[in-house]
Amino acid sequence: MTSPDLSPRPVEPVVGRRPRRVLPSLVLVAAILAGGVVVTRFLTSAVDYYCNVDEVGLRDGCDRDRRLRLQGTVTEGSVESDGLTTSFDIEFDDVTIGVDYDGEPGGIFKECIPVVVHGYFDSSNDRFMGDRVEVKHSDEYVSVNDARLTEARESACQPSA
Amino acid sequence: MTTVIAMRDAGFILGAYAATVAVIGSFALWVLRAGRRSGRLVDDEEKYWT
Amino acid sequence: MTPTTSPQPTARRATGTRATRVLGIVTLVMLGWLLLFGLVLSPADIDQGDAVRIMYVHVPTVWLAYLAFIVTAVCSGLYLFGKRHSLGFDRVAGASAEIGVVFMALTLISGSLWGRITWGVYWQWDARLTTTALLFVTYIGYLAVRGLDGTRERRARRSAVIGLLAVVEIPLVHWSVRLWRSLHQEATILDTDLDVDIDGLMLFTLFSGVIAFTLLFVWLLLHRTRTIALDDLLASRGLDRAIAERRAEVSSSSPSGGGS
Repeated sequence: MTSPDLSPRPVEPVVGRRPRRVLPSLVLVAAILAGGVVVTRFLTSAVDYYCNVDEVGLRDGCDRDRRLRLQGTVTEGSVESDGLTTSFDIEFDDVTIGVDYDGEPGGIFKECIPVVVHGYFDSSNDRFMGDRVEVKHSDEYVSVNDARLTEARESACQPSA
Repeated sequence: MTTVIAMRDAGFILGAYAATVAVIGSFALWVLRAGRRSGRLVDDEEKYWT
Repeated sequence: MTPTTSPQPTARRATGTRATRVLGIVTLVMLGWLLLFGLVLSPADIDQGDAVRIMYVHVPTVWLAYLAFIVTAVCSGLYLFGKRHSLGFDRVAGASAEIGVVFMALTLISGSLWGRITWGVYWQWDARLTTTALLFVTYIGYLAVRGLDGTRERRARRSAVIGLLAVVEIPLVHWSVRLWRSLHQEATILDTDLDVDIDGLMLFTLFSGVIAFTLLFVWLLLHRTRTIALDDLLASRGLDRAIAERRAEVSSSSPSGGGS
């Protein structure tokens, strides 16, 4: 009996076939590269996103002479603005630091809300010079129409600890 | 409708919903078309769901 | 490869059935319901204002993405460790991963728009966002591996291994806000303290979203799995035809003309 010839046959080039075979490999390489970038960002930035106010100068990586991301709650009654600079205090675990932010923080920034301020310490006056403010929202959701509105407002300004 | 458009940050909020509808709609259409295209080439008796 | 098989006389149906049509209609109604409550009837949040409305698509899409990836892992396990190594499990795994990637992309889009309102930036390399991006990229890689060359069984085997390994990233993403210092808020519903701090109508709207997206997931999964099954069937037909052609060559070249 003659056995069938199972060797691969020359295939006529078909438009669109080659890119289909190459695409998954290209996507895989791109995904591996992107994964590498993401992991690098994770190790350099995401593990400890911020320093709490009470850790400045005490915790490793929270030194005063370097650029920091500082987390604390905006102290009630501390927000002042002269049109160019917004000044406010942030506190955490009974430690308070004064912040000068160049401009209006915008977004949902307000008193009694936890924020992360990006910036550096001004050695001349010991205030934190912020150039970005990110509001750190809590896991609580309260309706503006809710009867508990007053209660929520009263309890909202509990400094994080 | 006026309430929806007048809300604060309406562009971002409606953008999130629009993106959701657009992406899901496109994916669902792609899935249905692919099924229709392949379904035409296969006998109904060979489709386990028929 | 799509073989050029002639249409059969009895080939009429695509991937739909009466059940999927009913499911599709119910899904559309629920999505409309979600739009109504999410954009109009639910209240604004005391801090976030109307930005809270983004949560009603953001949270359900990420939960369903998690579910989709878990389904992928379970079916990968059933394929790898099952006695029959049924390719049916592999098809469900692949279809579920595709839907999970779509949902995860929507999570990232809606989350970045929420971040722009709340944080002032679309993206920030904090623990939750970074691990979510890693999960998204991992499953894109999984889908790429599914498309690589090889026999159907070989592709199913290697993607099943990845499907089982990749799922361990989900708890990492979910607990990233507890494990590391994150800008992202902690979980409100899926939390260990069982203290759900959310307004009643907001919670109702959120669960409407979860139900709508769950129905959508099931509908998409049924259709996509059936499409993959059709494609597999057509591919195997192409292989059968090639084998038949080789046999015909042998028959015509043998002295007896018919082989033995």
